[in-house]
Amino acid sequence: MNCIDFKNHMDKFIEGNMDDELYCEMESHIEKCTLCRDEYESTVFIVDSLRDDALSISLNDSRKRDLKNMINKLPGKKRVDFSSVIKNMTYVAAIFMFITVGIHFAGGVDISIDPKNSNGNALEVQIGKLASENSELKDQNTRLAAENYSLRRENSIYRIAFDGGEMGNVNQRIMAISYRLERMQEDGSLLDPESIRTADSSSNDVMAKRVKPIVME
Amino acid sequence: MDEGYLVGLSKRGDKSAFSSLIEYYQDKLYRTAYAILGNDHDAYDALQDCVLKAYLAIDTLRNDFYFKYWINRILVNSCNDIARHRRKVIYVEDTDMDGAVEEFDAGDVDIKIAMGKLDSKYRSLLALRYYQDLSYEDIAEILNCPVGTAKSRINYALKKLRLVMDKSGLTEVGE
Repeated sequence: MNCIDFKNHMDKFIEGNMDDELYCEMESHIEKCTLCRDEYESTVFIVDSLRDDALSISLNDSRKRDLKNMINKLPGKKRVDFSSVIKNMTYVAAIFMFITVGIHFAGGVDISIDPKNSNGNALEVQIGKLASENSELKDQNTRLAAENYSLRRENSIYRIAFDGGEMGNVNQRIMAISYRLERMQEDGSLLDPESIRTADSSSNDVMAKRVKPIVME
Repeated sequence: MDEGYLVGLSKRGDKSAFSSLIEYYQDKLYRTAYAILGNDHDAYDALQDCVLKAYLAIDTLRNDFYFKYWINRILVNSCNDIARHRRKVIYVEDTDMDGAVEEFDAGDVDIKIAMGKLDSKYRSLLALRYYQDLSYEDIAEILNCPVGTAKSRINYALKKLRLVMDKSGLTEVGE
């Protein structure tokens, strides 16, 4: 055995963890080689010193108590145990499957709405009522919209005819008067001289004066 | 002690199980921290830090039977953090050894002085090997390196320590 081999196996030699044959070779080497023996002895001294030093160090009792108290004061953990959640979900799924399969083999349950069924029938009647109500409301809305449009138009024309004397042009006023006369003819008030007279004679006179030359043309 | 069982309970938030685990390891961990940091206060700080980190992160431990390696790794990291944070070069003479010297014989003091002069990475290796009496395989697991690497690093650390001691005239061998 040479010095390199000795150094390679020295740790095992110190620990006494090697076979007898190699151990004997190591022993015979350190008897012959002073350098290796010195290295071996100094290493053994250091290792023993380290181990002795280790034995002299210990945590005193007060520190141990402090450490235990510290652990006890640590906040508890609120953990979600996913394995148990999955396990429970598996049970729930299994029960659901069991019930479904059971119902299927027992003849099944019809959950559709049967018109003959009293509940289903009442529901359909209610839906029908609501639909007709909705339709009526739509019609009413349309009528009101048409009336509104008509009233707005009429209002606009009247406004031009009677109030817009100063603002509107002659043609607009003529249109307004014609429209008004038509309306009056329709509702029969045109035959009533009083109504003709009271239908803002002043503005009509004014308008007649202004309109006259153009109307004649 | 059924370590795997206790780790399992601790993962589910059982503080008494975690406390039992720490009670089992606290002396070894403290010894290692002391060997790395060189004084009682820092060693205890490192131990507390390690325990707290372990408690908060125990549910991330995949293999319940790796608790020993895992907690040692946390401890070494805590020691490195403390050493780095305090920016200390730990010489035994500068620390609280003045009060503690009386408790040890001359050989113990010598080895403490020499350890204090070593780099912290070598101190960690020697602490794990000789202060906690872990095998090369365990140390390799803690340092996350091959066994051969752990072994050669420890031998190198021993050689460095021997050089320090020879230089300081602390070795008795050959005198």
